[in-house]
Amino acid sequence: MAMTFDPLRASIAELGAALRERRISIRELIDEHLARLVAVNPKINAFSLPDPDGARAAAAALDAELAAGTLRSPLHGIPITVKDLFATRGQRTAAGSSILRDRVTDYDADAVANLRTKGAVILGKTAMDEFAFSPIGVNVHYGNTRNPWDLERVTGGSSAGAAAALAAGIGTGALGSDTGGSVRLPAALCGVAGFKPSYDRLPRGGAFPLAWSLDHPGVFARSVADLCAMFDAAAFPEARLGALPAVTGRELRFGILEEFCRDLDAEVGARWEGFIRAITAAGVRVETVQPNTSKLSIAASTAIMFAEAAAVHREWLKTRRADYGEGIRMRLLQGALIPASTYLRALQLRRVIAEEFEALFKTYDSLICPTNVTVAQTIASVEGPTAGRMIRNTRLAPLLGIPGLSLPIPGRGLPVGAQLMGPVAGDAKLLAAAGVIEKIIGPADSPPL
Amino acid sequence: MAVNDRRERTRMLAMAAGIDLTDSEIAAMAELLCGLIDTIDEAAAGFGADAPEPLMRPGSSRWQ
Repeated sequence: MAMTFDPLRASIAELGAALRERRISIRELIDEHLARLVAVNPKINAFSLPDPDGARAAAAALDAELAAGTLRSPLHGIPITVKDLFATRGQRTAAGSSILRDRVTDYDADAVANLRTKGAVILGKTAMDEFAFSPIGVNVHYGNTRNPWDLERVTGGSSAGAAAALAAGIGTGALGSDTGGSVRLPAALCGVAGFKPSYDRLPRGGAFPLAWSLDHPGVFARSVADLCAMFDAAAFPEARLGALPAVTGRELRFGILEEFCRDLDAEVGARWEGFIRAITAAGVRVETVQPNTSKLSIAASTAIMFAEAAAVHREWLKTRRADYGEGIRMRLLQGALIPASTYLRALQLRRVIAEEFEALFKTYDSLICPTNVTVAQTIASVEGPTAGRMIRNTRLAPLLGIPGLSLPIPGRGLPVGAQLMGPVAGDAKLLAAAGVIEKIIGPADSPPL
Repeated sequence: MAVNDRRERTRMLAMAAGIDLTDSEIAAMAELLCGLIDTIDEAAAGFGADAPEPLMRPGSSRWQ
């Protein structure tokens, strides 16, 4: 029986083939996604600024190019979303804040410009935690984003709308950012794939900073192949992945980060054990590793993140303090009080941790652990300690600037992600390994929304 | 360290940074902030992160 073509769930390659073969026009494809946005967004609050007019205008121009024989890239005509952190020309970019509520830029962020040049169609700007300084997916100024798997639960953040929209079938890919887990965590909690590349592989220009030495633009998609396509379209030419190295499951050797597998919620633990059974049965070699320094990642990351964020916000902390939500205001104030000696020691600790992990990557292709320690919590129950647990396993990769991604582990219940991390600049090899794992575990379901 | 000591330490850090804080803001952040500073200092000492000797050896990049 022929597979039904679903433009809301098809892969980038499938959509590209349908567009080239004129089975659907770009305008029709975009209209399908915009209709889904109108139907579903009131439930999930994933968008800060839908852009139906801009998307339809871009679609018409790209249809004309396609009719004339021009295909810009695999993303020609593909609907995507952009986190409100990234500037888009002529539109508001508030970074989820009240302070920047009226900020309109006359330029595109570099990653946005690259995506447009490659033919991606932007459906709108997605909702986020205020200034990206929270891992939950809540916002006191614009309302909370809701998880498509259970509308009473959080999405994770800060790229909350990016993950929720994609999971709900709005857009085929999304541009987000990750400073302590803000791509991988919401990807895991919403059941999609998220990739944070090595530091500086995707351009940060035009993205409002949270903490400059930890900030990483990243991408969301429903498969590893689509992550690669999104990444290559958002990157400058010199950073593109090109062809991934060929690898088989039996050639892969993974280290399980034992410390990051402790104290998991029962639902996460059971799914993770099933994941390990599946990949070992397929021939992937896995061994438990216990680095001495991994437990330092949260403290070092927190000191660096808070201090750098406070430096970014120093003037507004004096003049606009009442315009921040309470949680971010307190975090920024704490950051402003961190002594220089503590910040510098945290940077030096980062090097100590990096040295140990660089050595581990000489033995292991990837270090792995569950992305999320808990499943998505209810919005009503999320508090400080819960938020701290949520990001326990995601702080390490941006701290070290190493690539990390989250793949949804298929199974019943709320989504759980498997996190794979590789060495600095090992992005292509990590994605190749993830592609192997994706084939072993199979695709995850979509939410019943 | 006693709660009051951490609050006083936070108040001094705020003064040094030129940041005005209310008593309730100091109370809310003192434990977390001082705990973080102490954790970093202890870890740096424990792992020799800022000890000059290993940092001066060829190949070290910990100053960066």
